[in-house]
Amino acid sequence: MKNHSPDPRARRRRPEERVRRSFTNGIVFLSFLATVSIVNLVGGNDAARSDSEQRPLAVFPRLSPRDVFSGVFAHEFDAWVDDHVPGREAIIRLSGVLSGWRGFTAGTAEPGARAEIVSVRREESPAAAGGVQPPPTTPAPTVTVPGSRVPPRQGAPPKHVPPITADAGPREELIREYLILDDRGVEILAYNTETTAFFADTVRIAGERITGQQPGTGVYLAVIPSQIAFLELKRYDGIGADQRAAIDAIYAQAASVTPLDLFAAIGPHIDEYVYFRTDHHWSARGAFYAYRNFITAVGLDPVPLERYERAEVPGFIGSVYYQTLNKHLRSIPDTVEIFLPFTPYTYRTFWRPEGAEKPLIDFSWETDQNKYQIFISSDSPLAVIECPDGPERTVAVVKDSYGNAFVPFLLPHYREIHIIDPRYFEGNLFEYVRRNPVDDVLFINSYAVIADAWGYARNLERITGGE
Amino acid sequence: MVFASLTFLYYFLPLLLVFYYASRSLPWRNGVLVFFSLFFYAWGEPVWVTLLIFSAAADYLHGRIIEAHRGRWQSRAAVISSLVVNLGLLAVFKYSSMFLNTVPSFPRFTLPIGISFYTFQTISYTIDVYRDDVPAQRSFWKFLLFVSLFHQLVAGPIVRYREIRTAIEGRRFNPAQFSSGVTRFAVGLAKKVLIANVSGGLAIPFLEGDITRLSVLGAWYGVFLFGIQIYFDFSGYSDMAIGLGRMFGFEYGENFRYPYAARSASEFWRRWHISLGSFFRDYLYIPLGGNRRRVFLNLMLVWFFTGLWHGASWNFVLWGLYYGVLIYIERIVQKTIGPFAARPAWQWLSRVAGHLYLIVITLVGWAIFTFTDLSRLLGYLQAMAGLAGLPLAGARVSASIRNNPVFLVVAVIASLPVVPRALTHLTTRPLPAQIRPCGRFLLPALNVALMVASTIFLVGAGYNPFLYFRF
Repeated sequence: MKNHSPDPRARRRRPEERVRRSFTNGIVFLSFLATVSIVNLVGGNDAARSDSEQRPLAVFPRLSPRDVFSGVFAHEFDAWVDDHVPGREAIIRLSGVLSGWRGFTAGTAEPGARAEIVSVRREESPAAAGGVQPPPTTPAPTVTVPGSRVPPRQGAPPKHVPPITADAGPREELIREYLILDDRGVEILAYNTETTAFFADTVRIAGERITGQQPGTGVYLAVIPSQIAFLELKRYDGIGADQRAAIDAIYAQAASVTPLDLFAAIGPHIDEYVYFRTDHHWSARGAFYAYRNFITAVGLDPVPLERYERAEVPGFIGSVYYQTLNKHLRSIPDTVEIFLPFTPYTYRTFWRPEGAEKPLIDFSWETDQNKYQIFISSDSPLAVIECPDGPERTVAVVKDSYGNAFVPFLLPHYREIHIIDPRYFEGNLFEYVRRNPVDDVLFINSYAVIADAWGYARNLERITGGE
Repeated sequence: MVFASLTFLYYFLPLLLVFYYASRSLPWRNGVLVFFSLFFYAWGEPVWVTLLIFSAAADYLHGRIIEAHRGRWQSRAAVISSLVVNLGLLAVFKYSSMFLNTVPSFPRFTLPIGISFYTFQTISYTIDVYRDDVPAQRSFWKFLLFVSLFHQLVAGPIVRYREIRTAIEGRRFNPAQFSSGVTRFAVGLAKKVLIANVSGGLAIPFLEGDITRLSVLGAWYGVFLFGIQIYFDFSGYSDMAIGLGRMFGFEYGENFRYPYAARSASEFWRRWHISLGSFFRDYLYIPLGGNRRRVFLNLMLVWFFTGLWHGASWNFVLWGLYYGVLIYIERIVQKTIGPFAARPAWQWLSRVAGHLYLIVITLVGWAIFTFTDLSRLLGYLQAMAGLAGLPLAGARVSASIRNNPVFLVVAVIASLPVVPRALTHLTTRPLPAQIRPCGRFLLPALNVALMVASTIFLVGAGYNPFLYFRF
């Protein structure tokens, strides 16, 4: 029979040993708590904004009886604690790495062997000054509103800065699913027949009103398929919605406008760098093929890509990484390919009524996490490009962020390009085009914004409703 | 406030430990605990903390009256009054919306946190005093300490007064008790943050997505993940409560004993949320007559209320009755084939069959539990039964299993009594000579590692990248 402690002295020592062990355990735990608490108190990070999340961090809550008794203070205090942990960004990255330990595939980067579905629950909302980078606090060079055709009056440039707290629809808590497949991450999109039908109806009515108001205006609709629609999904086939069927149904319903078949435009070039691997956007090259399709539909000759001087900005880790924190995506950053405009222009964005002049390809975003903002210097409610050498033709582009990489290709074909982002624009589209007559109106946005969310379509309805 | 939050871990708990152990006398220590407990509760429930204090005051008085008039009608009236007050609070705050949602003028209440737990604790107190099982508490502050003690206040276990009466009256610091509390707390936190929360995240596309896009296997996998989530969430919370109790000198009874290792519904309920099961047994089932008469009716009543206790929704009632019926059937089966199955030759078969049976019934049970929308529940059950015309397996479920094998294996093993058996086996042997000198640091290191990993995940949970492109 085994006897593990034959020495009677050892047996006598046992209770003392147990007490010593207990003390050690207690003291180590208390030391840990004390250390973290003190580091938290004295070393708290006081950043106001998170670059990786593209959102403002919580501010220390106001101590008022009303907030205390409503529970708002406690809620906001918890959010403040969470947002200001020392080394937060590094800890979050570490949590992504630890999450990778759930499977055996972590750390192996063999193409073809990697496939992962990541589900996240996210709140989508205007969230005061949230999404896009807010307008610079030090004003960019202020310019006057160009010409008489960009009126500073009602309906045109936004009145408030930032104007995104307007009724942008209720917050939506949505479950997002991403598929990490080989060398890229893509969102798995649904097909909600209600949101897509609402969008299609909104565009149809807008098209009818525009052509009713200005007969002869060409109205076009481009719904951009997302990357997953073109991928060879193999065993994941059928995991997302049939985007072609969804977009065809939208086009059939929005019968008052000319549809643009972007499957046909992009599909043959899918082996080129037309979508980012780590970001949900298309690349400028992808946008170029859509531009070629559009400009041909308008009846003009597209400018070949070779005509442009190219530039590259490497090291772009895009939104899909930041949504999923997938370590593999972080290791394969994208390169932003840029085709530099060759025609003279002035470009003004209107976060303020007076507007601000900016470069159309804004390399000041080169060092930002979201390098896609290089294109037309990120989103703004309204922006106007004037091309003094362009032909006497004007276009209004109603777009989401996909439109940003697209718009610069229009320069050779138009004298004026009015860019309206329904998510932030506070005016009325019809009023705007009545004061600024246009030859063409293009509604261009990704399928992702209408797949199963209401926000974009509601905003579009807001700016096209009433007078 | 919740235990699994940075505010609790690194603000509340350190401050409480400092104030508590800086106080030398028991009355001061009790005072610190009451103050911090009320603050803890008011953090999440700043208005309804008054209800907690009212409930405590009412049952303090009930207890005193019962004791002062023992054997007389006043004593019986006080216990009835206690039941009316406590069940009335539950009826108004928890169930009124369920039964009176068609009455537009009836005010709507938000459910005060933990009301189901503390009302049951005070009911057990007055009944125990009435039965003369325990003397009434003469000090209101000590009684308030029993009711408000934050460890178990908002999510159990349901602690009975007689369990902690001696600790309230006098307790001494015991390093071994404190140390075991620390370990229990760290393990509980890890169960909640590292397993329950992760499993909840994995379950999202299966339980909250479009049912028509599921597969049969995916539907089963979804409730399997939910089963992992709810077990580790609830038992992790109980572990943290038990651990915190020990850090301050209180011993609470076990609330979970590896329920998934059971082989029948009745055994499952002897291992799952033990404090609730024993409450209904002692204060409802046995007074109704227990096994002696009207067994079926008694069972159905008990399980109706057990289900209803979990929430003001009919699916919980259905879930309770589901277990009531299963337990009744098991009793019949046990009587008829029990002696036969007990034969040595058939024992292994009955063990295997028992485990398989438990897996199936608990997973179906979790489906009933998780869907408050009955039409969605029906659709999901059809998907599980293969009656919804869905494929047998799909890409989502195979990807999820392939992506998370380590997690799934760890979660399943941790839900079975494998780890404690292995630990018992290991700790009864001497450590290898190479690591013996640092043996006393193994457990502290493990605890700190669990705390660090949990903290990293808690910080990560606050990560909320803005979907800037879609509103």
